[in-house]
Amino acid sequence: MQWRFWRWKQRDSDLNDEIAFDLAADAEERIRSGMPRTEAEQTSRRDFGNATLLKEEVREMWGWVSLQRLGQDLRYGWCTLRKNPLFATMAVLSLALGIGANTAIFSVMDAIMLRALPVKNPGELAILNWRAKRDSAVVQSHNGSSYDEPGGGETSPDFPWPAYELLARP
Amino acid sequence: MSSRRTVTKHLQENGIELLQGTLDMLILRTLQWGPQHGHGVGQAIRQSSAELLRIERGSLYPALHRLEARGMISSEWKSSDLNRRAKYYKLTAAGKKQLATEQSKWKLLVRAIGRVMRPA
Repeated sequence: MQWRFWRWKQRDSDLNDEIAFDLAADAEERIRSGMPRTEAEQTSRRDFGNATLLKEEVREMWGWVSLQRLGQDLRYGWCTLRKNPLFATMAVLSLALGIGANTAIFSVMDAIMLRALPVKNPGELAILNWRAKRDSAVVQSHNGSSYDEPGGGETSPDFPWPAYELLARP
Repeated sequence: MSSRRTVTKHLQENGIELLQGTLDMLILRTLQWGPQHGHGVGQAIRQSSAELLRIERGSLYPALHRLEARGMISSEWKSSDLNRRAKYYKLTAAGKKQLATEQSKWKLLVRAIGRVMRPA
């Protein structure tokens, strides 16, 4: 968008320069045939006609032509697709697969990573683990999963029901 | 010389208008002789028509820009003999082709109208 805007501005100043050159060249010719400079410049400007109207017209034309070109491109694209149904099917299929896969992966990522969990203060959520030395007197054995700690011992997020009830009490 | 001046004056007063669509052809034809800026194109058409055709800037520049947007001509800023940069227009390959088709269409049109208008 910025690039386009820049191009329009460039085109505008080009048009101004182009008109200025025409006026200068015209005046130069009159001066060469003996007219005083100020009079020559005035006559050239008068002879040129309405420069603002001209600029307006050229600008409008640029817009209209780019619209026409867009139409041509669309029609050309449509005709190409109509002429090669196999290519068209493959193109549509690969686009559909690509868009579908992206959407699916994004919705999963969105649910897992981006959206907050539906609780009152999601920022205060924490994971509780217990930790115990290996062969400690407190934990002899348990059901569920536990992991070896790097420093020796084990850790697990599984709690016995009585322990959970104690922790969940407000 | 004086008779030409009266004709020009007469035309200016009564207003000779180009047929629709012929300006593009005239511009392409003029650029066939090499790159030229807008003012030069106007002058060349005026001179080669023996001063009979005076192209208004209000039609010339929109036509040049239209032809450029359609890819018939391309432009380049170059220094001119006037010690000042000017936008020079040049025929493209598409423009040359367009000129050839318009020229043959024009010849056909002139012949056809000439036949209809010829004195009985």
